[in-house]
This record gives sequence, structure tokens and C-alpha cells, in this order.
Amino acid sequence: MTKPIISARNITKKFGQTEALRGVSLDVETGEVLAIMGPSGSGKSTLLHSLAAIISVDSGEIDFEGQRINKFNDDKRSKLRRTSFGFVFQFGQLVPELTVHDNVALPLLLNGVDRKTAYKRAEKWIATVGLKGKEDSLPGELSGGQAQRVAIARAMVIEPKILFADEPTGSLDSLNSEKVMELFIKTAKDNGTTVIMVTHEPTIAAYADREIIVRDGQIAGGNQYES
Amino acid sequence: MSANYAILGFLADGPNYGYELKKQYDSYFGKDKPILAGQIYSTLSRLKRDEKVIEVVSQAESGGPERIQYAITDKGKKDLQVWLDTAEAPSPTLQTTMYIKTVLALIKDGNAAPYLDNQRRAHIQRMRQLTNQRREVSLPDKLLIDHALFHLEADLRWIELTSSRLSKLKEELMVVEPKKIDSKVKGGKND
Repeated sequence: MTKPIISARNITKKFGQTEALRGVSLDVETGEVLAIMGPSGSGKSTLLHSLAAIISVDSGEIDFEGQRINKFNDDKRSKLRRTSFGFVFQFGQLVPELTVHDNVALPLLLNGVDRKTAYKRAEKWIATVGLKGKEDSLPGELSGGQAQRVAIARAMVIEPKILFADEPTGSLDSLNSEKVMELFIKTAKDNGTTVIMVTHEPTIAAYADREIIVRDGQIAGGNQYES
Repeated sequence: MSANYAILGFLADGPNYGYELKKQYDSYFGKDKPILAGQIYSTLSRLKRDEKVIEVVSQAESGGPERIQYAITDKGKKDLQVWLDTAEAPSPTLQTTMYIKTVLALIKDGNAAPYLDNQRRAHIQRMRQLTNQRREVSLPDKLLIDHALFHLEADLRWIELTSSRLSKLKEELMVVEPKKIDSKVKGGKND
């Protein structure tokens, strides 16, 4: 295995009395597409959120490109998410009052990129996901598949090192799931972006290079890392 | 799929030679497992006996040997139509190998999770191969691959559900087992 882009060592996380993660260790290579699978309540989303620095772990270590990110304070974690990580969730979570163009430009504007550059880059990504001409549409005017394409453009516009996805096709039918996944994987591979996605659907996991199964807060079949 | 109906279906489009029918079969249905030429000719011979096809002898060009083409009869056409109009019975098989392995792993080791994890990995690996293949192929082939993918997915749903029910399954199996043993001890005829 080449040097991993992100590594977790023995991470644990409790919510009240519930042990959501019980000593998970994992390496993910640069450019790899990893699927995290497991039954509901197994800890798979907690693992994703921990790796993505959305929640902090109780113990253990998470290294991203040589930085121990679990030691970051809230501000540094927030900056890391804005600049290095992209996110695609089940329902797109676009801002309903903003146009497609605004939605895609938003992460850049939040990062302090000037308006003209932000909108130009957004335009390029809207075209990449096949939605040229929809720049002025509102999310409510889009189909589920189109909204998810916008979510991919919005996640990719900052050219993230890692793209995190939680059930990226959960709200779509089979045909649209296939189209969105093909686009999602192609976009990530073309840009060398690492993908870590949670899915309970095997047909979606089959797009990944590798899958892990999380059960009762642990990786089934043992932790997956180079010692 | 029955080779009978594949051949009748091809001949519904016009008479053809045995070898061409083999090529047609392999191209549509035999990518993973080509049909043997012998099977084509034995099927044609049965169809001829049952009056569903007839032989049409054609004179070869430049004085070569006569060649035999096969043509579908009205009886053959009717049989093909009835087959196409009939829905396939959903598979009645309940005792799948996966089920048997799960039960035996529980009886032998008290834990079937490692077996189910391995099976899941193998299934997803196969799905990954098919998903990659699907990108490169024509729509008819894509539909065949989709069919295979959905069957694998159904197996995986069963694996997931079974994985989450292993403790309960073990409890129930343990209830059945002692009874069997008990009746044998008492000389009961349980087999």
C-alpha cells in the first residue's frame, strides 16, 4: 500500500452509554474509492463523520496528510472541512432559496475566493456534471438526479482531497442512481480525488475499489491498516 | 434457458444453418458459456422429430455438397408463442447452499458471521467486476449484467438480514437439536 491520505488508529466514540466506535483502525490510499457498509446503527456514519472531522472522537488518532486532525480545535476543523473535504449527502442538501449557480459557488465564496472567480469555476463544474443551462434554476425546479449532480458539483468545486458521501444515491431510483454513481466515480477518478462513502446498498458499494463492513462499532473481519 | 426456444426464436426470423444458429446462440446467450455444436444439432433433431422445424436442402454454389437449412413450422411458431406468453415460475428453491452453510457453521462453530462476511466479500467482488464490465458494453449486454447484479443484490440482502439474526437463529437451532438428540437417546425414530 502506498502512503495513506488518511489513517485512523484505534478510534472510539460514545454517545451517552452507546459505544458507536470501538477501536477502529483504517488506512485509505490517495485516489482510492472506499465504501463503508453495515447495518443501521452499526457506526458507519459515525466513522465517516469522525474521518471528515465533523465530530471529534473520544480517543485514538486520525491523521490526514501528516496532520493529526483529531487534535484540531473547532476553527481548524471547520477550515479543514471547507478547504480539503467535499461532502455529498443523501438529499443533496442544497440551499433552496439559492440558484444552482449560487449553490455551487457558495463553498468558494465561504473560502474567500472573489465573486467573479467563484462563479466562473462554478460554471465549469455545472457543465462538467451535465447541467449547463440550469445555472439559474432553483433546487426545487430540479429532479432528484439533477439535484444530486449539483451536490457533486458543489462538493468538487473546491477541488477537495477527499470527497465524503453519505448514501449519495439514497433518494434516487435505479436508473438515476447508476447515472449519478457513474458521474460521481468518473469525476473523482479524473481529478484524483479520494472518495469515502457510506452506503447500505451493495450495487453502490460495487463502484468502490474496496469495501469495509462496520458492525457493532468495529470493522468486521478486523481492522484494515498497514502496521 | 432452454436451447429449444432460443433456436425456435432465431428461426422465427427466417431459415438458417446449424452452425449459424450456434454462432447466434453464443453471441446472444453464450458469452460466458458457449453452447456445444453437438447440442445445437441434437436440439434441432428433436425439434424436427416433434415437427417444430423442417429441413430445407439447398444446392451449394459451384457444385459443392448440398447444405441443410432449418426452418420453423407453424407448430413450432405456436409453441414458441405459448412459451413467450407464459410467465416463469418464481424459483421455488428454499434450501440454498448459503442457508445450509450458515446453519452448519452455527452448529459446528457456534458462529456463522465469518462465513457470511466471506460470502458478502465474494458477492461484492463479483458485483464490482460486473459494474466495471457494464461501462464498456452495449445496451443488450448491459441488461444481462443488470439482471446478474440484481440477483447478487438479492443474495446480499439475505446475507445482511441473516447476519443480523444470527443470535436468534442460533437460539432456535439449539432448541431443535437437543430434542433430536433426546429422542435418539430414548430410541425414537427421528430419521
